[in-house]
Amino acid sequence: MKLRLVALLGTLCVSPLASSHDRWILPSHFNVSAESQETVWITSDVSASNQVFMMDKPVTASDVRISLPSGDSISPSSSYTGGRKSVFDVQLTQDGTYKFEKEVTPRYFSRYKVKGKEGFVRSRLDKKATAAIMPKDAYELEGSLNVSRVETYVTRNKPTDKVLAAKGEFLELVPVTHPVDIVENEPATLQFVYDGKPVAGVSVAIIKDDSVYRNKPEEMELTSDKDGKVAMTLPTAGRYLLHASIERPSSDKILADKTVSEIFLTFEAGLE
Amino acid sequence: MRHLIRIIAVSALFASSAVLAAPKLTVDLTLPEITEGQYHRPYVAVWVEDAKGKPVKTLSLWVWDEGHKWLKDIRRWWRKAGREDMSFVDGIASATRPAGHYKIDWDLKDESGKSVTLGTYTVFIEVVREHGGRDLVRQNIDLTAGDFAAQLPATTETGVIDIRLSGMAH
Repeated sequence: MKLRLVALLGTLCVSPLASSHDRWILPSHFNVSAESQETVWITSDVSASNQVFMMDKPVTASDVRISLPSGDSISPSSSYTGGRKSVFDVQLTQDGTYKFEKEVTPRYFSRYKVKGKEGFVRSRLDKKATAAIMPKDAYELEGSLNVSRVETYVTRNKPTDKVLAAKGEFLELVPVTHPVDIVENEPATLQFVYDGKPVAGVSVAIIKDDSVYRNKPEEMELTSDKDGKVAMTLPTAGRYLLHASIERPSSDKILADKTVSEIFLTFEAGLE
Repeated sequence: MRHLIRIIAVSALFASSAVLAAPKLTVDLTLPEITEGQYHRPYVAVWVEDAKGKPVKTLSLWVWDEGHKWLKDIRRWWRKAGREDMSFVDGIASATRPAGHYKIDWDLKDESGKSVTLGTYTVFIEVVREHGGRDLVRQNIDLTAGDFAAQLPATTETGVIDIRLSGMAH
C-alpha cells in the first residue's frame, strides 16, 4: 500500500504515527470447529507495518474489545506487548461469530507553518487548542479529526450476524457476504456506511498476505458504489488486509476542517 | 417343466427388478494406497448440493473420533453443511477408512427423508489428509435425463470414481 500511503501523507493533517503504517489484528484462526462443551483458544497479533502481516511496530492490544455472538462485549483474557507486536488471547466459549476490534477513539490532529521554517509543525490537539499554543506568526493552520477502526471476525461453528451490524458512527464496514463465506473465485460483497447510512466513494484497497515476497504489491483498488457496496472476487485463498478510507468536510471548522475515517479489516478467503 | 419354472423364475426376477429398483445414485469411491510420507487415513465427506449450492444430503462423513477440531478442514463440506448443526454432525460421522474401495448410495432423498424434486444436482467428494493433500471433485447430475454413468479421473487423494444413476423412469 506504499503508493497510497505516500499520497495520503501528502494530504492535509494525517497523523504521522497513525497513517504511515497499515495496522491489523491477525487472529490465529478465522474459523474453528469445536464440540459443544469445548473451549477454543484464539491468539491474535496486533501490529503495524508497510508490509502486510510483517510485524514491525507494536500496537497495543490492551484496548481490544471482543464482541461475542450473544452481543455482550469482553476484554481479552490476557495480552502482551513486545518489541514488534502485541498479542492477545481469547477463549471462544459460544458458537457463532465474534468481532475483535481495537477501541475506536476519534483523535484530533493539527498542523501549521512557521515563518522561516520548512515543513509543518504538527500537534495532537484540535485546531482551537493548537491556535492557542502556536507562535503568533504561525500560518496555514489546518486540522482533522481521525477515526480508525482495526477489526476482524472469528467464527466458531455456525456463523451468526449480530456482531456484523453497524453501530451508526463514522465509517463502518458491514459484511454482506459473511466473512466465513468469503471464498476464492466466488463473488463477495461488502457494504460501507457512514453514520449508519450507505456511503458512496469510499476508497478500498485489498492486499494479500506476503507482499514482502512479491515484486509487485498486487493490490486490488475499489470504490464503494451508490449503495455503499463493493463487490470483489479474490483469485486465491489466503489472508488479506483491507483498508478503507473516506474524508468528509467538518460541519463547523472550529475544531477540524475535516474528518478522516478509516478501517483496517483482516479476513481470509477460503479454499473453494 | 423344470425348464419352464426356471424361465418363469428368471423373468419374475427381471420383472421385479425393473419395477421395484428404486432410483439411486451410486458413488464407487476408491481411496488410493499412499506410501509417500506420513500416512494418516483421510477425512472424507461425500454430499449432494442443489443447483444453487445448497446442501441437500450428506451421504458419508468419515472423520477421526477425536472431537471436531479438524472438521473445518473439510473446507467446502464444513462451509456448506457441517457447521450448521453439531448434533447432525455427531449423528452422521463415522470412523475414517483405510485405503480401499467403497460404494456409497444416495436414494435421492434429502436430510428429512423427502424425495428431492427432479432437477440438477452436484455430488461432491472432498478428501483431506493430515500431512497430505486435499482434493475436491464433483459431478453434476441431471435427474430429468434418465440413467447415466460417469467416471471421474483419479486425483492425488482419490482413485478413479464411478458415478451411476440408475432406476430412473424414462
